[in-house]
Amino acid sequence: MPDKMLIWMVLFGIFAVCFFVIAAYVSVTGVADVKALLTRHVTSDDAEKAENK
Amino acid sequence: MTFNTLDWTILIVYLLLTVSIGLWVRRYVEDLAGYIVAGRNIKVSLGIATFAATEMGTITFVYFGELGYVSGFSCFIIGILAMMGYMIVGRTGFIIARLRAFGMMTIPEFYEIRYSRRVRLVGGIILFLGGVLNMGIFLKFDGIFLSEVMGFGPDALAFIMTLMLVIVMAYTILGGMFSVVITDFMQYVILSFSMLVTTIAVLLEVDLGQMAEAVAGSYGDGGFDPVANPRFGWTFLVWVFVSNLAAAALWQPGVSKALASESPAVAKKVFLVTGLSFAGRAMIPMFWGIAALAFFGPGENSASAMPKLLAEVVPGGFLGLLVAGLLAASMSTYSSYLLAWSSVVTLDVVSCFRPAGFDERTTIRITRFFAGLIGIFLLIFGLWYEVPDTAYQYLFITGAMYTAGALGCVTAGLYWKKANLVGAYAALILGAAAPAGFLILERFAAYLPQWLRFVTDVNVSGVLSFALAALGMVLGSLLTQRAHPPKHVQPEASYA
Repeated sequence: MPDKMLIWMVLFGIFAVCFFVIAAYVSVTGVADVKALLTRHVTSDDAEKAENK
Repeated sequence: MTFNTLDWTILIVYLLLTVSIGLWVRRYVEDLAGYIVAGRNIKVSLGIATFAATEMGTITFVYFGELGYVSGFSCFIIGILAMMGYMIVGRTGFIIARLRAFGMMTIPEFYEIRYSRRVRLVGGIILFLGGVLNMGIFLKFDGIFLSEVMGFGPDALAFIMTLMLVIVMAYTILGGMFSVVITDFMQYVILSFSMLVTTIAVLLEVDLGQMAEAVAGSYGDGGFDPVANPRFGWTFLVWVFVSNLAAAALWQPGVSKALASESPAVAKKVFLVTGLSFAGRAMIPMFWGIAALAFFGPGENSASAMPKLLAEVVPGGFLGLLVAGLLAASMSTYSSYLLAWSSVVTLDVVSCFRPAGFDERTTIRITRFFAGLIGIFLLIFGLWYEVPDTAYQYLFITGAMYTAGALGCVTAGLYWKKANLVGAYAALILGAAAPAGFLILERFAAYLPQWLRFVTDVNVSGVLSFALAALGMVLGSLLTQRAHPPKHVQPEASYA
């Protein structure tokens, strides 16, 4: 394997690991963010009920 | 046919689930800010997922895979330059933090505040044209990927393109940024997992020694050294770095995600962490492309070699998951881009002709109408247009039509007190001139005099667009300070 390819493969390994670690972290913590986003907004049903009151 | 029953089941169930969730989220009341920037309530993790998903459609995999196939390991440098560009923006908040503090929804809105309404109109038209031309090849390349990976071959291309367009249009026009953000998250999770499985499958089938031999045999030293590679060289590297910096800070589909963040600080974090993942996002499909070179040899069609490899090596079931993830990622990319370009033409072009403006409901309707028109254009353009050079270079040169001028206008507008509207016009027009010149003149390269042929080199045109835009802003502003004194504006919120 040429030296230059070895350098690229090391960089590939580092950045591929970074990509998958970030993806794993975001997959776990993002669920709470989705819940937070939806609870901060009323649905059209809620808005209709509030209007009727 | 490489796609088995399990793959089809996974694909159909996943797509139905995505569309159902997208439509369910419509229950949430959306005003204009909700439709375009999700009410500006996005937190860090969701921001990273939705930003990464926007910048990771099927076309991303096709053009990076194509680069791996036609240039070997030397194209890995592109991923590193992209990572640097996005991380610099994330670390410093260059442009995005200040734009978020101004509370805007599109970049040309800033042109009106800082320069004039007419500059906004010119900037909006250039952004719209550059953006739609840029998006023009998405359908074709996505169609190539899907037809190869699912085993239909090139004959099914037009049918797949039409079907994809219908699904995406319905999803975007009915939904809005809320639907996009929620389904982006799902797509990011599924796609990242599929990428991991695919990379392992490729490594099990093609070893590194084969790849080294194939790259050395096909491209020599240029396969490992980007400066020695005739496709790249220093001009290309400078252009890609500046383009990525500009795209990170100014490319509307991505920036709309920053503008949707709950604060400028969250926007900076989203860019920093997503930027760190961008080297991997590029290198992983490039690696698959290199594996395709080792597996099939150099005689294949460069865009379809990598998808053909995946059809061969990814195990049944996982192939369905990968295609479902990619198709869903494309839906999110298309939705974000359609939403971005239709909101630009509505808010920055159409609204400029009606000083009283439209009410929010009408604005959303006009935005949806333009999203539909852009969709029809994508199908016609995709079927007719032949891409010069690689898809990656086409995307960057069409992107430069807008980003070059915008980088000059927005950077100077935010950080240089002497920037005025003459400088802004000069930056926008000169920035668009070199890429537009390339797209037109490369068709007639053989008839051009020798001294003008440099314009048909995509890398030279790319660098030239940024240089001309910067020169236009500086000279235009300095020479007309008295006749057109600069406007000074303050943001609504702090920059932090």
